Amino acid sequence: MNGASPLLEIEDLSVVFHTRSGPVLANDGVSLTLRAGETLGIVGESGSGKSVFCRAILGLAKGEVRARRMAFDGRDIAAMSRSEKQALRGRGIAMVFQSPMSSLDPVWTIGDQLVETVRHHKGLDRAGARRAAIALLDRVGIQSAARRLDDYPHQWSGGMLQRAVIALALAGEPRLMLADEPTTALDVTIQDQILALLTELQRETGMALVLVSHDLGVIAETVDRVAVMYAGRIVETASVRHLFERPAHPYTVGLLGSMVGAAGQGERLRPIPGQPPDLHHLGTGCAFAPRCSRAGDDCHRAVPRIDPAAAHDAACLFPMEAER
Amino acid sequence: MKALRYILLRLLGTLPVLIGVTLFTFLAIQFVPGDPVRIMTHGRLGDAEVEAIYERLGMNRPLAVQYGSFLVNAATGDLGESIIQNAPVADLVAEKVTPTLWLLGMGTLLSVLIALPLALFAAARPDSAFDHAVRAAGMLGFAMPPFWIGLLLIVTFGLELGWLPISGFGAGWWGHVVHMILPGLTIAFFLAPILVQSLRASLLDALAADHIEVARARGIPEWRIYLKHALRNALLPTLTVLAVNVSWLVSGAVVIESVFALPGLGSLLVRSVGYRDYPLIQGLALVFAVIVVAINLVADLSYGLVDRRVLRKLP
Repeated sequence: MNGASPLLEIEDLSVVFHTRSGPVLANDGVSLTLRAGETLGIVGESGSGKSVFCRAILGLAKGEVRARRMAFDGRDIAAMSRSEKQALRGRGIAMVFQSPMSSLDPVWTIGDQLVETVRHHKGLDRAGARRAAIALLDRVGIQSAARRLDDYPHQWSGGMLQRAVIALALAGEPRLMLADEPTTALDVTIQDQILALLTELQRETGMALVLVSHDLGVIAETVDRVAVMYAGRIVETASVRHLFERPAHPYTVGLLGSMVGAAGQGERLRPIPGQPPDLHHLGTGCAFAPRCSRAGDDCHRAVPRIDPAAAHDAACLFPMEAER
Repeated sequence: MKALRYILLRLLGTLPVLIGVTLFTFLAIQFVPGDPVRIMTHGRLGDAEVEAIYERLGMNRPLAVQYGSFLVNAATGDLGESIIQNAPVADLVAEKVTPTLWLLGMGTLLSVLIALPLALFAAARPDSAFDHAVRAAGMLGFAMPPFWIGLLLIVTFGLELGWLPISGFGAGWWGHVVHMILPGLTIAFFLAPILVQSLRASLLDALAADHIEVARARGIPEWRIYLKHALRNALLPTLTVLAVNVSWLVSGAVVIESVFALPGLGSLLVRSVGYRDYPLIQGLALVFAVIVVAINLVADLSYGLVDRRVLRKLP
């Protein structure tokens, strides 16, 4: 901790879904700190708990959420009332979702939804909110925004809709933007545009950005720091450069090895052997141990905790390189 | 402007429906055994006299000619003469159509007024005690036959408490309103449960949509999400259910009309069928078809109000 308190502090966050077939531990002891204006990537396979983590921060997770500490801007989120949590959404923390096609209400125009959001956050009158809505669409790169404001979502393409969703997220001038796989549902050419837009907006506004993706390539070109998630736990945090140059956790190494471009010309990609674990039956040991070539007996019994404040740390008994 | 053109196009599109309905009725009654003249005169007339009456009514012309002249006359508002009642069919129908339309209107209004809040509260807390109570009460109302509910209401609110009139149509529009409360409630007893079930299910579906979570994430208050976004999306399927049921009621409310001694189309229809009063049956079939078509046109226009994309997509 150097002086200023962090924007987001999460300590030991757990999210449990109580299903018919027993409890599912979707997040297990996740700890994370984020400074104002920082950009963080969360990477992991589908089902590793990335989306649940974002929803838990917003108070939208469906399961049971427990945390030793969960604070935004020094205020304890867990102790907030329902209406305080709601006031935090959009204004303190905003979120952009995976599927732009279903992110907007199909029976209202895009303008209706922007005006609704702007009025809610800013208390503007209808005409003022309309001007603000046009300005927001302009800002996310929608051509002739004033004319397109009264379009319905089905009239727009996926890329345009994701811009509209980003405009909605910007309406409350948030200090933290969570982007949950914002480009996964889009064409490759559009993906780069959306990432560039997010980066540009982050620089302009100085908001912090958490970018969630299963794609390390997307993460690498957008953020400063990365957290790698596996089976509901953060297994490694590092700066992007350190993660690529000196990955410490065997899972991270596997993830890098299976990236297109990591293998040399003519070489085959190296997939990680085995399957992601069943979250119903997680022991106390390292969830990756059954797939790990370096695992020893101790790995199946206990897993070291990660230090959220450290520059580079891995939750591994036998990291690839001595870091500390 | 678009909406007006849409209405005109739709009205044009109903012509084949009306022709189809009347043609089918026309052919169907030819195959039903029984003869209006003999029924009316209790078989006291000889064959020659019966033939003479048919000759006068034009009923021994070829079927195609009979149907053709019915269509031509109907287009000018002339539905022919009732054989039994010796009066123009159009006048008979005009006299009885008002109570039936009032009954439909009141029944629909009361059903919606009862169903809307119940469905909204039930879907807001699914599987709560209230939700289960609404479902159980709905099953009860739906399971009881309308004539029985009508009698219960008459006994309770008419005879015991003396609050409301129990029969007839009343005079003046306020008289009509008061007289239609119990018959309307009888309809609501089985129509409201259908609407509650439909709307509750649609609301739960609508609440599960992605855009609802997105709306929460952008900070929109929960009540607003519920009433503006979830309800608007959930209304369309329920509108369809409502239109289908009200269409059915047009002729299905005969029982209710007779329980409350309402001089409506239903009782006229039953009598006309009993006497094989061909022109009256034919005229009633046309009027029923027109009412059903009108109900569905209103439903279609309501879609446009609920989901304005419908209007936007019009040619």
